Amino acid sequence: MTALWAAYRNEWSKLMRRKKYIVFLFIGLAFIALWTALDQLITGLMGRQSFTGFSLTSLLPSGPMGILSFFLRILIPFLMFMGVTDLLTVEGAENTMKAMLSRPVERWKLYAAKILAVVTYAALYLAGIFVFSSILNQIFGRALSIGELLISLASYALTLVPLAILASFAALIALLCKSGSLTMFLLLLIYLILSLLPIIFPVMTEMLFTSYLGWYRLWIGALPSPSKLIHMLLIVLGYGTAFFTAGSLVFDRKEY
Amino acid sequence: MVLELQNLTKLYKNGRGAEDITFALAPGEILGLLGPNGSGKTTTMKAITGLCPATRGKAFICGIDISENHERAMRKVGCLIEAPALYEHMTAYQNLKLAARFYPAVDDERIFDMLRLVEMDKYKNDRVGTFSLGMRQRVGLALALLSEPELLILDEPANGLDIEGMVYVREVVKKAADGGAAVLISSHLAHEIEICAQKAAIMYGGRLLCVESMETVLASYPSLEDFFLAQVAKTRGEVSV
Repeated sequence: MTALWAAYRNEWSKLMRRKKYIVFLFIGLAFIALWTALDQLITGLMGRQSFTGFSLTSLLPSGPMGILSFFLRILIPFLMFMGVTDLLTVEGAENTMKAMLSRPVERWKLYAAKILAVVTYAALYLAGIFVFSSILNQIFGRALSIGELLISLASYALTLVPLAILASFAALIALLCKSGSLTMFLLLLIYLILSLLPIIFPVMTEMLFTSYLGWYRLWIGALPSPSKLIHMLLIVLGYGTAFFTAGSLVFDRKEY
Repeated sequence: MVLELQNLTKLYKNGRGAEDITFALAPGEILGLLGPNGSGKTTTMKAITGLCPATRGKAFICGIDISENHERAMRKVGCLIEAPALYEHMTAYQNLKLAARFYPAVDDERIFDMLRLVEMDKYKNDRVGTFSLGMRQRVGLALALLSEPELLILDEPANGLDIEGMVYVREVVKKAADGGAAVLISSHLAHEIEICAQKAAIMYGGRLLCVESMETVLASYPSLEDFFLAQVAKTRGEVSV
């Protein structure tokens, strides 16, 4: 446990010492601020129900729940892909992986620590946008009740499960590539294909792990039947176990 | 024995590597691995530390099989293999701090002591990306010594160092051995091994040709270099001059 904790702290500090991750966090916050300002401006000029029936909020609703799906589908996966690429492919290519491998830590723990660090970054990012969008919404938009805020918070927390699976998947791909740019290209391409597939073939929706990124919607409000929830949970856990086990085996046999 | 290799073999896909390496190393002993580039020195060291899982054979560190319990075995090892693995975007101190987290007994005081030992304390807050090859090598040495290892593995540690640096590395190695650590050091320069090691292991073409004490070598040959050439000639089936 000590070795896993040490490895996790190391991976986290390696990630946070790269300025781009902090910059991207502020870009996200700036985007929310800009969006709220634009929304206020248009609403102020035309009224929420404009004569054309157009409202900016209909494109991207503001408030913590409104912005969640945008960040969840686009920016956070991109940042997670960047994280696993830096911690796995780039470290392999730059020959720095052996700095950690030659320390008293089992390989699977090091691998788990890398995924955990990336998921922690996603959690930090989600926390940042939740707090910031909630504050802005309280000040400029419709003030949310405590109950609504708690539901939003639960949605953000639930989102971490499919994000962890996405990180495990990305880590597996990152292990198989030798260059950082190739890893990013492949991950984005695969993610795009996996996101488009359910639109073209709706029957595939339940089978693809990327479909579960929005699963928080199923857990709040009117819950589906228990058997449906168990089925969904098993699929998600199955994907998680398969990706982590496969990645861990590849990492264990890799030469550095 | 601090290190015991039993037919340790690591073969890459191209068939090269190191094959059937067997030797042992006692506390306080310095063993020099001598061989040309591509003779399998680095591969042997990587197989010992688990950086490259061995194809067959065993490596025991203080009696612990590295393939069975990597974590426990590596607590006793400090190593510098190939170029130092340093994170360029982090400072010298931060690089040492990453390693220190794995050893509960290593605190900031020890990190600063190590940086002072390798004369890098002035640059502790400078990013490694700005360091010369010699400075990186010094930080790499500090990383290897950080946990007061029982087994110190140094792969061509004098690489990139100036004359003073090379002399300094020798002193550090001797000091570590005097303190009871077993040292495995590799070089393709016979002179380097002759000066600092008590035993020499000759590697050639991925095989260990022999392990001899320096006293025995120098009793029969004018220098380790001559001994090395004679061993290689014998392997090739040539007549030694």
